[in-house]
Amino acid sequence: MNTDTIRSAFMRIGLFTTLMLATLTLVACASAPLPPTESLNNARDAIASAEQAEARQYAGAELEEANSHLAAAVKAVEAERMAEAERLARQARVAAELAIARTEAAKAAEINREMGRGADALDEEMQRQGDQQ
Amino acid sequence: MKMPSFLKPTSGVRTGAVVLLSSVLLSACAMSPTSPDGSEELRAKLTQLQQNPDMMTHARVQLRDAEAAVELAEQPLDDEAVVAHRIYMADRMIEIARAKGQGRLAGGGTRAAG
Repeated sequence: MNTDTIRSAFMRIGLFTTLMLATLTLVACASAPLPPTESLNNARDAIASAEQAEARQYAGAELEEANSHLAAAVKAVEAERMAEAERLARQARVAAELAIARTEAAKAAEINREMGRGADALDEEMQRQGDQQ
Repeated sequence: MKMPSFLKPTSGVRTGAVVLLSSVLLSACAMSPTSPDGSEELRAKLTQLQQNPDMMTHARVQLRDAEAAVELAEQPLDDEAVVAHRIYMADRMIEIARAKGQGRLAGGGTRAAG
């Protein structure tokens, strides 16, 4: 009788411990969402490309905005607010892409202006030579 | 003679309450979910670019992406953070399309659109 009671008590303790462990494991998995690594890397790559394209000179505000979103995304990861981190990382990437697009547009416009000035100078020179003859 | 219950006169208060409740229910059914604030401005900006033939030639792919982003931003949603995120993304994608189009136009459009 006594042996049966002890065995039954041990079995209950064993079952309880197993259930507790399983619950703890599940809770641990559920409360630790993964950081948005891919989005963060994409944002960093886009910012690096923007810096390489001289966006600091031509689209400084947009580049600053991208960096600010990335910093906020990193903070959100540290605070384990992963959904927010994902959104901020995407915003950082799109802001960096805008910085690149505006930099390219500004460079193209600059080249256009220089070509225009060159053509004007050529016209003036030709006119001057024509007047001399 | 016994009158059916629905023919018996009812009090004014009760009738008023029933009419009011019916009106509220009907209004609730008739109201459709509205697009988030700011999405109308996005649509207007995008339409303006789409109506520009130069933009359609030089930033076709970016305008298509912006269209998809605006459509997403126009969807009604209760989560304000997600709504603000979608509005931001759509706005920047429209601006990317505009900058790409302007850049390619200034560069003579020698590079292929997209």
